[in-house]
Amino acid sequence: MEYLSQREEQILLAVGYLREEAYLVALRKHLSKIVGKELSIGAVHIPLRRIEKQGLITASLGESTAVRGGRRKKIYRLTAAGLAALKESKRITDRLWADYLKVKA
Amino acid sequence: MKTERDSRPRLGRRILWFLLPDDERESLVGDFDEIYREKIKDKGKLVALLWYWSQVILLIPSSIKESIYWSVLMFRNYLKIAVRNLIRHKGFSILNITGLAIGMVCTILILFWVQHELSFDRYHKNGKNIYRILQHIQYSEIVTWAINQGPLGPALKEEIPEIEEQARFCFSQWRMKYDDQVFVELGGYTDPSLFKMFTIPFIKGDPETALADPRSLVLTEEVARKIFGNEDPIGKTIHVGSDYDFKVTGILQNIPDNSHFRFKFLANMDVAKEVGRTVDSWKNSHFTTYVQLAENVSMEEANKKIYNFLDAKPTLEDWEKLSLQPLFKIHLGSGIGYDAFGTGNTKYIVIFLAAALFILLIACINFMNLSTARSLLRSREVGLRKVVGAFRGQLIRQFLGEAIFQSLIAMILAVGLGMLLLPAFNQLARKNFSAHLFWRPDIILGLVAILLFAGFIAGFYPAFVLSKFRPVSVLKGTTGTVGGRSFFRKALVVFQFSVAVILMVGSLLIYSQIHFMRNKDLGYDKENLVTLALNTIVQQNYETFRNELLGNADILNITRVAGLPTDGYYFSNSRWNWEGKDPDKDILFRANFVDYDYLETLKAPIVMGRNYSKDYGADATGIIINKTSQKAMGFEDPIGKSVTLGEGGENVSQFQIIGVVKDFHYVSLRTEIEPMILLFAPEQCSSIMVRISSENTPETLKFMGGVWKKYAGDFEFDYHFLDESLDTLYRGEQQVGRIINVFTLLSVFISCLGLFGLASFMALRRTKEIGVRKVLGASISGVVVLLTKEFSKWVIVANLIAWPLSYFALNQWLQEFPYRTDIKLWIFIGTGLLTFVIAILTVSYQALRAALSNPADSLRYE
Repeated sequence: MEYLSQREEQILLAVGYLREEAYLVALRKHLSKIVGKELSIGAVHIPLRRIEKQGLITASLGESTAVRGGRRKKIYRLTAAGLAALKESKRITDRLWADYLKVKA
Repeated sequence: MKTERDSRPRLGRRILWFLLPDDERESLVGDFDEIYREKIKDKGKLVALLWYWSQVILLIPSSIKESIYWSVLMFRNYLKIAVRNLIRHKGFSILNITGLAIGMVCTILILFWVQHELSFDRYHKNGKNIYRILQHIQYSEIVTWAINQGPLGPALKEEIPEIEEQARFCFSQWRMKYDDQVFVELGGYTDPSLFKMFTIPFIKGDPETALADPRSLVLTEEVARKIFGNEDPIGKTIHVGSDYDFKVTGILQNIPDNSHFRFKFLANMDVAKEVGRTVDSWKNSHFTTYVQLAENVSMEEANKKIYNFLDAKPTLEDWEKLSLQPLFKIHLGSGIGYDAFGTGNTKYIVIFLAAALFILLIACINFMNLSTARSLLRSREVGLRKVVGAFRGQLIRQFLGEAIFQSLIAMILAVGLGMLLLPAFNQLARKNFSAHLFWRPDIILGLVAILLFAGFIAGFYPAFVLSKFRPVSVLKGTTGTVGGRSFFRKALVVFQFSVAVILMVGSLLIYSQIHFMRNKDLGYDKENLVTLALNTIVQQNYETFRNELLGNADILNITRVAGLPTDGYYFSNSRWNWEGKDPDKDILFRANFVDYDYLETLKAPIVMGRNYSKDYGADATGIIINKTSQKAMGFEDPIGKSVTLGEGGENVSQFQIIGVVKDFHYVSLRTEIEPMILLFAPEQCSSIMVRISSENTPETLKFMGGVWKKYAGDFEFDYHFLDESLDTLYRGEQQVGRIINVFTLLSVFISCLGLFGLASFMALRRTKEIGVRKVLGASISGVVVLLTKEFSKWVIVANLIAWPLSYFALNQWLQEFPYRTDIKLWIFIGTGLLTFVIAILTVSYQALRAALSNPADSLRYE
């Protein structure tokens, strides 16, 4: 199993959080708010495509709205593999944090 | 809502749509729009607009990378499918590729020929500043000649500062003797400045001094090798004619094939004077004159200066003007008389190029027809590709690519075939091309252009048709619309056969014109006439020579003459005057110097008056005119009328008309009979003409050879039959005829390949129908007729279209000849029948096979 990059992990988490609203614009807005600077479309879209190809998320076309010029949204959803990857990543990070804190204390 | 929509940058969105990957186009463009809208709200329209466009621009590099990646991936798939299709349908692939390859070979070879014609004289480094001087003289109409008076060149150089250099050239045939061996070669007299102006590389010797001495001689490598073998020729002495010795001072590289001038040796102009050429007279034109203009002088400027140059010179005619002809245009120039070296013919270049392209087009049409006819076979693939997301543009590109792929294979074949056929082509076109030509960059560029052209023409329409299939109906299996395209297909077959018919009619007509010219009654008997060059030794003892020859019963007559019908070399002049001549009308007369018996030997009948005869002593002032002259002079009864030549004082000669000869063709049939005057002047003659009987020809020739040897010593007995020499005058037409013939065969062959393919496909498609018909009692012949009927209809239509077209085109071509054959009906009918029979034979093989098949086989699975 491949390891996630930091950005990919962040995006996976955002997809999981936003649920039915997890499409590119919303994901970008959500991440930009938390990271604290405006991310470019590419900064979100490219990792998004990559993890989609890896099967960590799946996509479906949602409803279209006038704001979007009548174009449909591409809505992403976490897959089981995605969830597993997140959990694995968290396990590793937690463990590393725990070790680090142990030494610090 | 509407206005808001319109506020978005439409162009930007369009570009985005184009740049983004296919699968996410929709959602991403939507995303961009949404963010854009938000930005307008937050930061204003300008910022939003800037942002949108910066995003578009940022996308470009990555999208290019993506598209290349994917197209490489798809290309591999396309290639695989193309190869599989090629292999699975071997028969059709062979038909397609052979046709294309043959068309390409034709085009390539003609391309060689065209580039050769266009490359004439381009190798001269100073070429763009070199011009030939043309002379225009006003007779009843203005004639243009490529020869000038001897003093013209030097005078031009002296008096016109824009002219930097000049060189004259004049042909001469030399009899060279070295080491007791005799060589007869064609070369010329020239000024040493020729080497300065033109790029004529020396192998040995110094261009500056090679022709400085009047007794020096420059040979081409070819002749030097012939005469001296492996000896070093420099400094060797060659005996020329009877009294001259020349020292070889230079060896030239052989003159390239694409040079308008050709010679085997060069001697100094001073020699021309010595041997009796009129070099210093303003009254005689013998010389081709070349001038080189200063670097910054334009042709127009120089033309203005030389136009009236001859007005101040003591020339023969009142109205003689000069103009410049660029060196590069000499070879393809036309309508110029006395062009010593002969020219190419632009018209034939166009005809050949058109014919080659049409053959290529016929081959392309085969591809189109077979591909669209068989499109059903690939409809499933198209359907599936569309279902998994192929766009029409991609499919068009795929099929176009396949056509180009096949045309690439055809091109490789064509290049190989071309190399094999080059020697045959050289023979056919009398050219000397080497296979190295294939690797020249400009030719390679041409080959690629032909390849792409053929691929595109062949593949465009099938790609268009194939990509149109609707996946739903294809995959459901309900496509029945293939036949709907057949009108276009029929039109294409009709076009193919029309081209074939036009070419066929053309080649038949060219042959019938050549046949006509060879067999037309020339007004004299051209059979059994032997010509010999008259030299000074025989001239001195002519009477005894003549009497000895006449001792043989098979030698009927013998005469001397200056101009032969084959060389067309006549003394042209408009200074003839007679009583009652319209002073405003200049008429050009051709004059020929003859001996007694000239007309008897030719068997050209006298219609009025008498012939030259020894019984009347003073015939030196008697002239015989032809019927056209009589008409031109306007004499009812010309006998005894006096005619003068020249104007003013001592220069005038007096003549009396003693006879009128029936018009005969004293030049080739390409020229109309013009007024001619025969002058009695045996001492001016340069040829001997002998009439022999039609029997015992070999013995007679042997006898003549013996007598010749006795009188002429080591002058070769170089005889020609007049009728054979006349035939060579039409060599140009014969050559064109042969090439068009080959084209015709090929066009018919390729058209039949296509027809064969279509027929086999039709038979395949109607297998079941034929099975049912047979079961219901149709006869074999009935089925064959059924299948061939349609194809024959197309061929008939093609003939009906092609006949008028070829009639007009060929009528145009025939206008070039003053004496021409009628366009006969049988040519058209014959061509029609022939194409019809060929087409039926081609189709009936397939039809028979289909008709003979057992219906049980074809219906078994129903």
